[in-house]
Amino acid sequence: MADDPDQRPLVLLDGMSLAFRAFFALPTDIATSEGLVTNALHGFAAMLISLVRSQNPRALVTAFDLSGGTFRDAMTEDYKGGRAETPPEIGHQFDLIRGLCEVLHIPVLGVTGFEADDVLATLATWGRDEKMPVVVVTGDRDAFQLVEDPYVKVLYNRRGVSDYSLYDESGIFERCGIEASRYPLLAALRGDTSDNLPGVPGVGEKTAAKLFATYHDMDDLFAHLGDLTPKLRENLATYEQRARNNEQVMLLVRDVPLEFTLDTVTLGGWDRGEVDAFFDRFEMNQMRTRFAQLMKEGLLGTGAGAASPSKVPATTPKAPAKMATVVASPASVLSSASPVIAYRNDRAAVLDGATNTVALVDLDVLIEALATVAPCGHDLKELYRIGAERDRVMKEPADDTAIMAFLLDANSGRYELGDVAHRFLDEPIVTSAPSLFDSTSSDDTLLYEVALIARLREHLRAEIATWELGHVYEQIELPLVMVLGLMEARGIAVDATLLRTIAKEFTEEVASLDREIQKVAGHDFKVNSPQQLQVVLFDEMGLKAVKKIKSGYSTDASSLEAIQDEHVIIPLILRYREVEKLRGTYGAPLIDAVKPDGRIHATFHQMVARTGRLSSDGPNLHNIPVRSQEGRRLRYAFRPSEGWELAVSDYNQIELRILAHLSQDSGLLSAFASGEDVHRTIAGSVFGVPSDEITPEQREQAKAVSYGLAYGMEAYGLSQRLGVPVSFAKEVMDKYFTGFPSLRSYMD
Amino acid sequence: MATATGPQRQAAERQAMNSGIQGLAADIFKSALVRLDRTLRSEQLQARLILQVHDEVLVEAPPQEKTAVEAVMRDALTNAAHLSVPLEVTLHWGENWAAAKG
Repeated sequence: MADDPDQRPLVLLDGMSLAFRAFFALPTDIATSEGLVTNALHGFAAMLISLVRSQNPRALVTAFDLSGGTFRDAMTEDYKGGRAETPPEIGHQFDLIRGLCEVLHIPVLGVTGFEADDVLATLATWGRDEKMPVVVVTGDRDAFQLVEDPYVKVLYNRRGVSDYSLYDESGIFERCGIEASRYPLLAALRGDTSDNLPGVPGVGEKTAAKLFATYHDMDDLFAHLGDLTPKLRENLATYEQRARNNEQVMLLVRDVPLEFTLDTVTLGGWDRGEVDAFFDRFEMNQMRTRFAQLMKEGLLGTGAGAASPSKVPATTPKAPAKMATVVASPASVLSSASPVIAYRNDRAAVLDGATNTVALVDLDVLIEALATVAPCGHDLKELYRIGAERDRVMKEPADDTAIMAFLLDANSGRYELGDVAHRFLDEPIVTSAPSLFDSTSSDDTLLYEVALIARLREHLRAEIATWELGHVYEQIELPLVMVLGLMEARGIAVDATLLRTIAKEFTEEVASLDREIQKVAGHDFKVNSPQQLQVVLFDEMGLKAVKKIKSGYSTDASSLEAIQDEHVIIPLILRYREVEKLRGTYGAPLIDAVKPDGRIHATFHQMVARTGRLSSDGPNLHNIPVRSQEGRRLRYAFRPSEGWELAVSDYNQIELRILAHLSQDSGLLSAFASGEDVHRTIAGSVFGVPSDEITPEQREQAKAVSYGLAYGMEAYGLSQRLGVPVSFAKEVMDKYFTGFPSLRSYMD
Repeated sequence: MATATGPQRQAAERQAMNSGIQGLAADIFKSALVRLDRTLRSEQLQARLILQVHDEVLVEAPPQEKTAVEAVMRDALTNAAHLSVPLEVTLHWGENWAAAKG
């Protein structure tokens, strides 16, 4: 990933196999207005973009099969005969993909009598001999045999357009259980359905790998059939010729005659006008923009022609063009104004955008430097927690690209770097292991990530400004990142003995309720089994079920609450479930959450709730019941540090005050301005009596409406809450709105 | 392939949500936390913000700092936003969360 061009790989594309993957990944309704299906072209173009961005290639070469047979046809009876009929919508797209490569000046090779695989094998071998890094991109496992450390890797497309694994020798061994160079042996026994090559019956990939862990090659294997189990021996003996033949078929040819040399192959040489015209012709505006960006960034080499009169929207992301230079001495980078940082475990990359230099340092060194400089990173909360755990004081963050992404798109729910880069920069998603980065060093990963964060920062900053989210970002969400990290590190002290006592009480109460319920039922049964409970309640006791479900009658909370006055067993069951839930959530789990320092360190989430509220887990402290006796009992166990005291503060009627502010209703505003009991004042207006004549009941009704409005409650909800008929609730609400007319227009 | 409207729509939704009651309440809380933690740190108090759950903010402090901390907390919370009506807070001390809840 350094700037030295010799480290950039030659990227070899298996055009046919990638075209098929693209075709099956995208719907065929991707088409021009004339109805020309272009889904594979779209997918292939998207693959090119992600390859260029992730691999930073020195050059790209594509190989295609030519029509007509290959030498392999003579070797087997029905080679590739079992392949499903080629779908009619793909044939013409091979030409479109060739056309795309041509306008981009990516060489397209094909040699009569050979497969694209053989061409790639030949090029990869040449590259290896020149000590040049090579990445073969394909959806065909045959290419695994080409992998050779340290030069040749295979970027295997598992499916779709963005699900890749990058394999080096250890990666192939991990995946297949055999060395890359001996892969054809394994494939020969296993067979290959996509090439219609049957293998040896009863021998799968695992067995084949085991056999060739013991035996060196086919000769060695067949010389030792006597050592094998009878069944295996018989199958191998029967199909010996097939296995040996398969091996020959699967061995790729590394010396295909090519009128092509590697010396001259580079990126670039395109004409911008031609590229734009190509995308215009196939009505691919987004691709046009994205390739324009690649050309602008220099990632496709250099070419002719300025941008043609632009259809390119003004929002094209501006990203730095080049990978940064890695410097040996981190001092200047660490003291730059607001460095971009990425870290994993105890290693960090720090990028100074001004000089485009990057340093790799221990995490401790970075944390120390952050005493004086403010970092830009992705999801920095954890770093602040780690810093605080190591007793370091750090500056507030200068930028957090995860938080920016959350503000811009609170619905997506995923803010990992890969997801955000994919969403905002069209980077390939790298999620599942083994991933693109498995076999590269972690330093390379950090350098990639830090460059990505720098690009994201620039892009997202502009978006934040466009959507006028600057205030909420800079004043609230961004500094909160550090506050939450510090809160996590601090934790809260608990009385573990008391927690254990409470857990025991929960367990005992559950057991006693369990016994009591069975006693009332008159026989043993599993109270927590809905099926058995149905039988007891509705068949044996003859209680009236309120809700029918697929498997009989519902025993969920609302169904039971509706009949809780019918029989003494119902309240017992409801209580049983309540305590059982408390036991499960705040019994043992809360005790387990106590760390050796005697404190509970919950994790706080800033980017979860769409309302912007904070949440917590490990444990979820937000679910401790607010009002119940048990909730109160649990809160006794949360304490200040030894010898200290605890202050708890909350807002009075905050929702109602916000409602007054937003609606600007003069009655509500003056109710708060008077400084008197606000619910009483409101009730006075609603019921049209002086506030000192308001009954407690009226006050309660007005209060309920106030909160109901703040949470969007309607007459039905209010009637439930107050235990009054819906018509009466409606009447109270109408009176309320009459008393506070501006409120109604705000709510509407 | 028209994804361009996605983020735009969502950003617009975020603005709408932000202006709603729940969104504004959440922003006031978060703003209060930031102000509170910053001030406790800058005034070099030992007291520290340790928890925010629902509408409650928890701070632990050594006894000698109680007066100062209470002033900082009230200031941070009541000035977290400037609405047309004043923000009011309740604050209690205690030897555990239940007791301090009042």
